[in-house]
Amino acid sequence: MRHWWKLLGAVLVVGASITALRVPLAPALVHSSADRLAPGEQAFRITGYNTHFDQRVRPYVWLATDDAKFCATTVQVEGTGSLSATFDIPNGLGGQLAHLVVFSPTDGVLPLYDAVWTGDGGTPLPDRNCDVTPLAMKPFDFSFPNRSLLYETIRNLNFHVPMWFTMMLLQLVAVVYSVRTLRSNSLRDDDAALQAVNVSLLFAALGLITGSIWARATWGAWWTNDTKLNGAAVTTLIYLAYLVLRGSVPEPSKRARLAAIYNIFAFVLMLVFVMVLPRLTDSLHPGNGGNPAFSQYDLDDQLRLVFYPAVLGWMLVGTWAFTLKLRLSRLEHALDENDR
Amino acid sequence: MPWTRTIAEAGALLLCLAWPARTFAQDNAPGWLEQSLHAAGKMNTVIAVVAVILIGLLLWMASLDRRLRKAEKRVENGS
Amino acid sequence: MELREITGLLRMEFLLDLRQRAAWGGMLLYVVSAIYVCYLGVRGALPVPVWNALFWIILLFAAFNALVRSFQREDAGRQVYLYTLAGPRSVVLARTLYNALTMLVLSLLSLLFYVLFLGTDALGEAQVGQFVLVVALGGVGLAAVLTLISAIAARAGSGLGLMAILGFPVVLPMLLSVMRASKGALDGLPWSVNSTYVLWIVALDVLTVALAWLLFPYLWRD
Repeated sequence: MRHWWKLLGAVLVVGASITALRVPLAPALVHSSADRLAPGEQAFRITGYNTHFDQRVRPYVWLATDDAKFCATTVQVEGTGSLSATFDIPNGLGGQLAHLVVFSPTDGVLPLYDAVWTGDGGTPLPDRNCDVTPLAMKPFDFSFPNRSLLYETIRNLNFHVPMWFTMMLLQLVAVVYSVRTLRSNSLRDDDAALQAVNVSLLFAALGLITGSIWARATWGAWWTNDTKLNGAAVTTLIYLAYLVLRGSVPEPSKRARLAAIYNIFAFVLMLVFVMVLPRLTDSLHPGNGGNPAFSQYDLDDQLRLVFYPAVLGWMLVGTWAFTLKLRLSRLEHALDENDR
Repeated sequence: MPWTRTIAEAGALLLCLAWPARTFAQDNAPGWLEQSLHAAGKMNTVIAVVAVILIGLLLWMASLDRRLRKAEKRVENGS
Repeated sequence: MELREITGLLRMEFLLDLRQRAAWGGMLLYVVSAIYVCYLGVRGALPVPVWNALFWIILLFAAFNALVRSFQREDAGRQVYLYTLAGPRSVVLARTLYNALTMLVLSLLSLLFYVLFLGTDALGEAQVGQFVLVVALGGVGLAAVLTLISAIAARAGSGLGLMAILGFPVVLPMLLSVMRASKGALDGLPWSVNSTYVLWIVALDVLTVALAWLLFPYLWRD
């Protein structure tokens, strides 16, 4: 079986895509009806996503700051995704942001970070503890992390990001063929570099469009001035310029040499731009500037288990697409030779 | 022609996807895009992303198909 | 490749440029007209980020305009002559060096005219020494990146159009870092903070020249 890797790529892509779409999101809190504390009895309505609240195993609700834990006096389950909790708030609190935390034996500890402003007084939140006895937890489900803003779109990680990985791989292939072109002066190598660039532009386009849709749903804009996005734009521009350069030199061997030189030069500078510059500046993407890196929060083990196979699968499929394009191009050249 | 069929299929897929999005739209109310993208825990965003990738690959295959057909024709004419 | 070859080539470049002083005049006129057009369009003080961005955009186009000549003035005969005289790596190093000097002078002169026409309001809190250093380094950096691009465009047999298309995406990393560093200098950031960017620009310069040094021999041979 010489073509096992094609099968492997297909299986990985199909398997990872189905898993990426089917795995449920981990339960999380999405909304609290009040966002600041008022003295006296105060009722909070808390909405969850994918939660399984159950009156029979009473959830606990509390407000948490760095050094205090302030529990709700009563907790009422209104549905699997909705709770109402009543707090007895003393006078004069203020000056802090508190997290709202729910512990439910069915779902575990669910935080809603910085959900409540404690008010304009000066007293910090007092301690009013409740003994949360860790009850028997439901057996752990396979699930994706549920992050605010992202929600279900965290699945896109398994579709959008592999496009960029595949594009980079194909560009690397193109550079390798460009180096070979300079050494061998062979038009065959040059053609391989061109075909790799062609297919990489397909994946660049897919990455740009999918990224744009995702950005619209998460950050509210089709395009943001972000280093990663600038990198993507520069990459696309470089390879379009590469095609323009090829178009403007009629003589094949000269064209091969010029294109190879430009490809190597631009690729190295682009790589530096994409890899190093984002680390010097802020970015909305994870892992840059002040944002938490994947490994810490976003890309937890379950997500990783789907993400890596997806990346590998798409890379193999991209390579497959490249070989198809290359074979077709060689066929056409052979026909040209015949005609002559 | 085979590739016109591919494009027709891609179009049909696009139409199927656009249809439910339109029901969210509710006669050009402001922010119909948000409404459809954010519906069901933003699941529609994921669907849109997957659809874009599928359509992109299908269009690429259609272009490959066209070039292959030209080559086949040349082989037939040549021999 | 040796030092004497490079200095010889540099001398030749100087002499050639002395003979065609109109080219230098043209470059300067280009910058001054661009700045004057900005002055006419702006009228009044600019906010610091705009002042900074406008300056670098002017300098970018001036660099394209100045460096496109770098390899174009070579006709086939002289190229063969150069080929017999010196190794390709000496040629590219000498030419990069010469272009860097050109851009250094040009960017400092542009800065002078820019300040003259558009005022010094943006320099209120600036670390002026740092800013001038960044401008100088940026000019040299643009020259380093665009020298090879200019050679490719010249070999492809087309002019400023192709050079702009090829050069723009490649020059962006340099341009963005330089703009950021100069913005930092204008905002009066201390050297300890801004030096990261400055060192980064120097590293980028070195990388670019190394790449040009590696690749140019392949471009040179026919």
